[in-house]
Amino acid sequence: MNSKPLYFLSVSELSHLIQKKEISPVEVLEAHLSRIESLEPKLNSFITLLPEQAREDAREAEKEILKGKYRSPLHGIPFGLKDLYYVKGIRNTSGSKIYDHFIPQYDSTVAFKLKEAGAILLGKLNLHPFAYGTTGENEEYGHMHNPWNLHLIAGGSSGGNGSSVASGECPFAMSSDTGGSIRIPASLCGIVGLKPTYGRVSRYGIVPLAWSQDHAGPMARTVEDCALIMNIVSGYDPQDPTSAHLMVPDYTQALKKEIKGIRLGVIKEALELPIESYVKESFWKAVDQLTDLEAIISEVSFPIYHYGSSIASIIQMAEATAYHIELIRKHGLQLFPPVRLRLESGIFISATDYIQAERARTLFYRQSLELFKTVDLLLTPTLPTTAFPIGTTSLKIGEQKVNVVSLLTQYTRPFNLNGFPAITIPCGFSENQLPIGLQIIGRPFDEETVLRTAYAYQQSTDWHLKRPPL
Amino acid sequence: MDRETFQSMLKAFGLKEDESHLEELFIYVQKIWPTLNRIHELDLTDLEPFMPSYPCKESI
Repeated sequence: MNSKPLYFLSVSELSHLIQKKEISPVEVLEAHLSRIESLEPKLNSFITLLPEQAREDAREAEKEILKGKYRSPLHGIPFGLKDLYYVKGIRNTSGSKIYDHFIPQYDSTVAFKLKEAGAILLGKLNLHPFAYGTTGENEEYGHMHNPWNLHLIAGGSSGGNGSSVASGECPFAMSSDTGGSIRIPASLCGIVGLKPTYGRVSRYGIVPLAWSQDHAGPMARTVEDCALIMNIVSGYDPQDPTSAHLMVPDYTQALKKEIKGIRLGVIKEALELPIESYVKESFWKAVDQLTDLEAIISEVSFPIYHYGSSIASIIQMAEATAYHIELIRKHGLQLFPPVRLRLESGIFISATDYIQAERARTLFYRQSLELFKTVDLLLTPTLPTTAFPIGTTSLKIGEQKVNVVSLLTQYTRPFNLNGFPAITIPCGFSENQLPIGLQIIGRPFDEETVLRTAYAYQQSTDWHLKRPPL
Repeated sequence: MDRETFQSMLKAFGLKEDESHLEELFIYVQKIWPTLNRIHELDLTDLEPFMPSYPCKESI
């Protein structure tokens, strides 16, 4: 038996023990519920906890497994859902008290697939209101706190996902990412977050922020866990108009292949942006580590990279305002002020501006594809900094004072614009013991190579084994 | 954008704002123009709006 506490076992480790009937889903659940009970006053990861329903589901899973009806590697594994994934009969707030009593009447496709796989829903996780923010601040349900230092942000928008998975409240959680909302909190909390290719995981039943840039994906403590989860949640869904008609490979099989000879491109333009020196240092050490694994590194130029955030933000503002226009009209005064400003400002993007941004997006997409003629993957830091105090609106990096939204999305947002798969994995710690992330980006629908490379890196380092001092 | 256009657009969208918020929003909206100008720097000749084309069902 593993000597780690149950709440710090990975999905893969728990799954193995459950399948062999060495532990029961009820034991696993109780370990996580106790962990939640002791940590929630500090972290505030959850908006809605479902202990009784989870206990009932765990007992049912236990019965099924004992009878030999083993559903999947997620059978009996607890998890959390960002509070914008619909689950029939369970309130969905989107992080705003305006929807404090809203009960969806149907399941999101991802929630349905996880239920069918036998996973146990622990509750709905806290987020930046309407997923429209990068810090994980929420005045209505309380701010999310970083498990590595409770005074600091957990990141957003999926701050509850980041804090709960890093702290052992959940083995994994499902999230959404429109400009970095999976990768930002994953990096700041020291875990793994995968934004799959646009179209790979259904968006049906997930409250949109900006339809054309919203992605659903997993957050977990290991790359292997993300691969396991992707096997369950991926695939074509006729209820999502942008879902891709493609076979889903077995992502866990992809992990077994070596990365010798794989071509990795470091984006020159990305490293010209403001970045803390210690983050840059960790990034290059990670690149060296990949070289030791016999990957081939080169520098690539991506001239339109510096325009990516501008193009993406114009499209996001217009789409987010279009989706939320009635909310702004009826409940504007009740909205979290920074979110209200973002939503209202979208009114001033004209149809022509939006279309011009979409034309620029075509150019960005073409240049992105062109890069992959010479490399198999791209590398950037995930973020230019580590977590900072809650309430911070700008940071000084070198001589430059930068707005935190721009700063936190400078490496993540461009890959929402082209929809390419991107993962963040821990690649170091700052002097004050805060996690640093490495981002690996792949070709459309080539999550296998992204996961394989991230796994090889993770197997050769121990950053992902460090736990926050709670 | 001048203040008159700004206010008439808000009215057209059915938004009623208090004075202090109006000022804050006006300042915030000014930040959009440099972002838009960045896009105007690009040569978009012959480019159509982005339309992702995914492999069709028959390719499964």
